[in-house]
Amino acid sequence: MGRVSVARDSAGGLAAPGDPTVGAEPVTKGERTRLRLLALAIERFGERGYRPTSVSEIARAAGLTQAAAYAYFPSKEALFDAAVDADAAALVDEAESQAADVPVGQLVPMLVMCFLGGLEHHPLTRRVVGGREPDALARLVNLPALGRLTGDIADAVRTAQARGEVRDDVDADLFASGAETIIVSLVMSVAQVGATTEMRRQLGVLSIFDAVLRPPDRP
Amino acid sequence: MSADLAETKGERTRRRLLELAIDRFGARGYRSTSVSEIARAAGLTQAAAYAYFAGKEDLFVAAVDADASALIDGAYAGVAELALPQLFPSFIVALSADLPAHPLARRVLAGREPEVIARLVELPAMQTVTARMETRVRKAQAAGTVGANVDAAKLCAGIEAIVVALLLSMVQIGGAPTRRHQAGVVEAFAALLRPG
Repeated sequence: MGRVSVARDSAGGLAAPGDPTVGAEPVTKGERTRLRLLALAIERFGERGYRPTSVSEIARAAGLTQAAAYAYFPSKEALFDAAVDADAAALVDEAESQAADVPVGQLVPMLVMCFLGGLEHHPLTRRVVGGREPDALARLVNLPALGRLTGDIADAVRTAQARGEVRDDVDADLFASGAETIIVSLVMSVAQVGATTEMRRQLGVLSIFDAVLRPPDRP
Repeated sequence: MSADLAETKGERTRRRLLELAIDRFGARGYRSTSVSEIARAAGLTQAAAYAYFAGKEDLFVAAVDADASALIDGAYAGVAELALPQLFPSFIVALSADLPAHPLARRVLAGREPEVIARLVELPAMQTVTARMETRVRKAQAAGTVGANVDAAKLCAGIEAIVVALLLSMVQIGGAPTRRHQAGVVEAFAALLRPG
C-alpha cells in the first residue's frame, strides 16, 4: 500500500500528457529515452517483479547511468508505476481497437477475450492481474484508459439504443460501469485460476451479456 | 453437512481437525503451518491425525473445500428467498460480508495460496447453488417474470463465473468498490432479468 501512495504523490512527474504508448511519434531525444526506459522497465519488472529488479539494471540496458535514469523517473516506485500504467493502457487500447466492430451485445465478452489474449504480450500487466504485485492492483482499477473504455462502452450502448438494437430501459452509463467491473474481475480470475476454467463458464458469460442487451421479443 | 445426531466419534474428530485446520492454515498459510500443531490442538498425536487425512496437502485441500463450501452455503441460505433481480447482487454482498468468518477461503481468494485457487471454481457447493439458481430462473420463466429467450443453464453458469470473479477482485483490490461500480453491476443483473 505504501508504494502506491508514494507513487501517487509524484504522479505529476510520471503521467506525461501524451500516454507513451498511444499518439504521435516521440519527437525529442528526451522523450525517446523516456519511452525506452519504460519499455525496458515493462520487460524487466514483468519478468521478475518489483522487488528483485533494480533501476540500475534498467538504466544500464538503456545505455544510461542510474543517475541519468533518475532524471526521468524520480524513484524506482515512480518507474514501476509508470511502467504498469503504460503497459496496461496499451493493452486496453489494443483490446478496444480489436473489439471495435463487434455488435454491442457481444462487446463485453469480446473485450474479456481480447484482454486475456493480449496479456501474453503485456508481461507486467499479466503479473499484476495475476495477483503477483498486489500493491499495484489499485492502479489498474483507476487507470485513465479504463475510464475511457467505459465511456466508449456507454456510447456504444446509447448508439445501439437509438437504433433499436438494444433495449431502451438499460441505463447506458450504469451498465458500462458494471461491465468495466465485471471485465476487470473476470480477467483477474481467469488469469489466476488458469486454463481450468471450462468452456461452459465462458459460454455462460457470453450469453449473459447478449441477454442483458437484447431488445424484448414482441409477440 | 453431516453434523447430525448420528455423528460418530470418528466423524467428530475429523470435523474438529478440519475446523482447526481452517483456523491455522487461514491465519498463517500452508507453508508455515504443520500437521503436528493442528493435531496437538485437537488433542491428538500427529500419527493419529494421519488416520483421518493422508497428508498435509490432503488436510489443507479438505479444509479449503470445507471453508469455502460453508461460506457459499451460508451466504446463499441468507438470500435464497429474495426476488430474482435482487438475488444475484445480494449473493455477492452476502459472500463478501461473510468472508471474515472464513479465513481460509479468504486467504485463497486473496491469491495467497495460488496452487488451490482453481478448487474454488470447481467446488460442488458452488455447483449446487448454481443449480438452485437455475431452478429459480426456470420457474420465473414459466411464470413470465423472466424473458423466455434466456438460456437458464448458460445464464447461471455465467453468473457463477462473475460472482466468483467479483469476489476475488474485491478481496485483492481491497477497499469498497465505488458506488458507480456497485450500481453498475446491479443494473447489469437487473436488466438481465427484466421480462422481455
